[in-house]
Amino acid sequence: MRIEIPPGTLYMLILKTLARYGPMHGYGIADQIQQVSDEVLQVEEGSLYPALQRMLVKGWVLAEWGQSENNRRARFYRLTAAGRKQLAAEISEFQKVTRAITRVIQPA
Amino acid sequence: MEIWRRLKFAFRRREFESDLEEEMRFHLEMKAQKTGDRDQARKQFGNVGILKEVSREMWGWSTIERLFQDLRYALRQLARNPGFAAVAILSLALGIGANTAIFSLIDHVMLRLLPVSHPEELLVIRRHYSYPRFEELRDRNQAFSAMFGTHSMSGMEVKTGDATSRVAGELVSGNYFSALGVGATIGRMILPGDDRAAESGPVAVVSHAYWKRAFAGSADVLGRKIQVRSGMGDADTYGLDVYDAGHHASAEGAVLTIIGVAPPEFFGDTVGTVTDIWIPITMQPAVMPGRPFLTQKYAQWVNIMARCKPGVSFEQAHASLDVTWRQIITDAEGAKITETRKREIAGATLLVDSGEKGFGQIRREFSQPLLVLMTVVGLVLLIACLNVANLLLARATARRREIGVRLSLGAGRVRLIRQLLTESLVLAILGGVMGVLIAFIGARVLIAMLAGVGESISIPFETDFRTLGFTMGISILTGVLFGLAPAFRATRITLAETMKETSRGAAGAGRVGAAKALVAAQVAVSMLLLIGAGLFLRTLYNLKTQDVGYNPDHLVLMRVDPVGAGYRGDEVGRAMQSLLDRVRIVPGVRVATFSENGLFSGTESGAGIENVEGFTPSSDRDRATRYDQIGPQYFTDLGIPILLGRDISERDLPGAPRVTVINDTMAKFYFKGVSPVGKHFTADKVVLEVVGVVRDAQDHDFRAEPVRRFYVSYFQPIDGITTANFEVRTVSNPGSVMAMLRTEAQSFNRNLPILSIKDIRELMDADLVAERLIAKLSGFFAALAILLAAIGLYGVMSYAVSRRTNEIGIRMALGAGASSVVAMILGEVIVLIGAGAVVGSVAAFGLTRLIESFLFGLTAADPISFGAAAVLLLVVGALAGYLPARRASKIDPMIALRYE
Repeated sequence: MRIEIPPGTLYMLILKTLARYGPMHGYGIADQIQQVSDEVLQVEEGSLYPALQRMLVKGWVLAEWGQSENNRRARFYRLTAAGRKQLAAEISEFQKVTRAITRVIQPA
Repeated sequence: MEIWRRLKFAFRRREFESDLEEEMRFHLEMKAQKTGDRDQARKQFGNVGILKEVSREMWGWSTIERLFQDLRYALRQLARNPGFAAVAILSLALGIGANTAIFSLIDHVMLRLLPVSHPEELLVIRRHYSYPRFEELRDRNQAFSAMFGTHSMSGMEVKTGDATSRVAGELVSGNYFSALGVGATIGRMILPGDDRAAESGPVAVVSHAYWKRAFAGSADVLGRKIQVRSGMGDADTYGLDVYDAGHHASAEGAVLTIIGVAPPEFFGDTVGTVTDIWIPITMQPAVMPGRPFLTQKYAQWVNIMARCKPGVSFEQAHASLDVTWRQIITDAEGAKITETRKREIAGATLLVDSGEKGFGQIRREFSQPLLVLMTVVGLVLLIACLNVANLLLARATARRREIGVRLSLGAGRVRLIRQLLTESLVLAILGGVMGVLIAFIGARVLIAMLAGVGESISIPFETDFRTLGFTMGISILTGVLFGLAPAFRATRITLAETMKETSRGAAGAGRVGAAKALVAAQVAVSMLLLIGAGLFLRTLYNLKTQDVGYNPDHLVLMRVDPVGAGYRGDEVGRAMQSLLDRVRIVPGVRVATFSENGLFSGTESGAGIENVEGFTPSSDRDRATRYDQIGPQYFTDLGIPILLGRDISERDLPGAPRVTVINDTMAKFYFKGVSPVGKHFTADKVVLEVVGVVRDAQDHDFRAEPVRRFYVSYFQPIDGITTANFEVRTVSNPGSVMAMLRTEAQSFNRNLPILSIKDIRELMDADLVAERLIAKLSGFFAALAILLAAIGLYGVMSYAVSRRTNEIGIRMALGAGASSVVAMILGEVIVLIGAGAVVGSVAAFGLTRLIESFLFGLTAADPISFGAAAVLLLVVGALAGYLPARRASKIDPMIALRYE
């Protein structure tokens, strides 16, 4: 079963993926998130590319052209220092929210 | 940083686009490779175009991009319909232009603050005061950090070298510039030390503009000497004693040294006037030879302005000023003050205004008329908006298919509304740009009208930021106003509807209904404007044709200044009598006489009379009268009927019994039913015997009720003479006689200053500047409104007729005649106008009450104005409706039936 990525967490997922595996192209990021989440999370292309553009605007990632694993020209995204800071902030925020939600829904 | 990245994107967007495209192609291929199904991959990927657009939006430029897209589209649409665009833009330009022109005047007259530091602390005391009174107020007040006096001399003579010119001079206290916080551009300003004693500070400061004009902006203006001289000035200098034998000022005026130049933005202290030269107020006796006002208690000539101490509010300052004022007038009464007088003084108050906008002569006079005109032009703009809304509605109908198709292809409604609004905004802004041009010309005409006759009012019309901002604001507002409703309406359709309907199908019905409602609204607003214009025009007519008590035709007034020529005491009367003898034999002169104040001259005298035989005054107000000092046969020559007794004659000379002639109002008030002839009263300590009663005349004013007025002989003045006004009745057109009068006066004594020679009609017109302005402009704008409404009506009826071609064809095939078709269409027009006119009349009935104070000789519900407006609307409306009606009657049934 595939479920939609909760709103607002896509940036975090992308940032984390780049932080863990280093520079990656768009397709790679989407593929990676899908694999790591055991096919639960599917990144729609319709959200991925606008999100990447937004992150470029914000300066969280840099894009540069390079060679892909099958020797094709591909655009690689690399985390910046600002991106790393953003990732930390998003993770702590996310954990705060999940802990709070858990407290609310756990059985008494 | 972020902004830098965004900018980089904006400038290298082609590169960014191709990057994104390549990236997506790569993504798609990878995906296809993985799944092995190219089509499946593409399907999953979604719409590349939309994806690209959404990605692009992330950079935050799309709003602007879309705006440009919309603008391009809007301009293309307008270019495709030049006729529509021209009518719409022209309507708006007229509306916006009129608003801009009136606004620029309101801005200058009512909104601008004086270009001084902290203008909000300033306070102006209304009316004029004597110099000793001013000194008392200045020295005894508690609430002000500074108080200063001024006196403006609009036609001051200046001699620089051999050249003589007339400029606007102003006498000011030494603390004037320091209190206002105005520093010098070069040199220094007038300082408190310059007005210590009479004639002790022979210096002058010139305005920046005058410096540029007269001295070419040269720095060596400092130290230059100028000789200045002024006549009466503008103050109502009544009750003033000029028999100051000990005074020997040179009749040549004062020689002053220029010490400084004012900053360019400082035009003076009175809105609508520009001052050229400032002179210390204590130089007054030298500047106005023969008129030592500084020591005169009765010469009221000083304007007073003051700056409140920090932290003192306007109300506190006014209250404190009143306390000081009551002390001053109590002290002036001395020990023998009566209880009545004490009570009167306890209630005495000075009229004050905020001084942040300076002295407010013009503001007081024109504020209300300008607000009325602003309302009028606002309504004109409303009509223009309704017109354009109607045009847009018609066009939206024509574009139903286009809009329907765009909606069905996935265009968002908001997006389409924005597109349509952009079109109306483009129209409005083009209208606004043209409007500024119209305003530029219009404001000039307006200022010329405001200036009236002989008065120098200078209000610069500049296309400054405030005015342009206002124009921009109303343009956008109107664009939204007339564009919003049609845009919503136009996009409220589905494709199915559009496709179903034939080009002239049922969908037009709603549109005609809306269009008719808009036209009815236009008619209603036009009706309102027409009624207003009717009221104002009739007011002007009533004022102009009012019986002033004498015939104003062929009547010339020549104003001379015998005191300025050096005559003193009884010499003045003798000299004026000699001049009168010469004037009477000038060819073309029928009769002539003279008086001190003249007619419609703006100069007036007043006195509180005492010891009226057989009358006990209940308050000071009962003692108030106006008076004039008149030459022989004054009433006979002017044609004012003598009701009882006799006219003033050549024998009422110095030494003869002191006599007076009173007007009817005065006779009835003091002598109720008893003949006043032979009775006595005292004016200014002179006992006068009444020798005649004359019918009331309007000496200076059209509107005022007749006031109690008495006349004494010019040869037996009760308060000294300052001028002479010759009233000269000519045989025919006075034009040629005026030149001869000037020659005659000059040959009589070439040193006699001739202040003016004017037809009394000119002077009367000057009294009606505001009325004429309102009447003319409201008439003009009502005509404009009715024209716009007629265009709207014509458009709607043409459309209605073309839509009903089929129906009319059937009617005619069934035997309806051409005339009955015309009658049917005209009937609709008349219903439309009738509905609008009724609404307009009801609105007018409520609104015209607000302008009641402007009206004269009629009520706000004047049936003639209402009736005329209705008839005019019906006639113009019927004409506009007749053309489409006649077209309808020319329909050939055979063609019409095949029309569908």
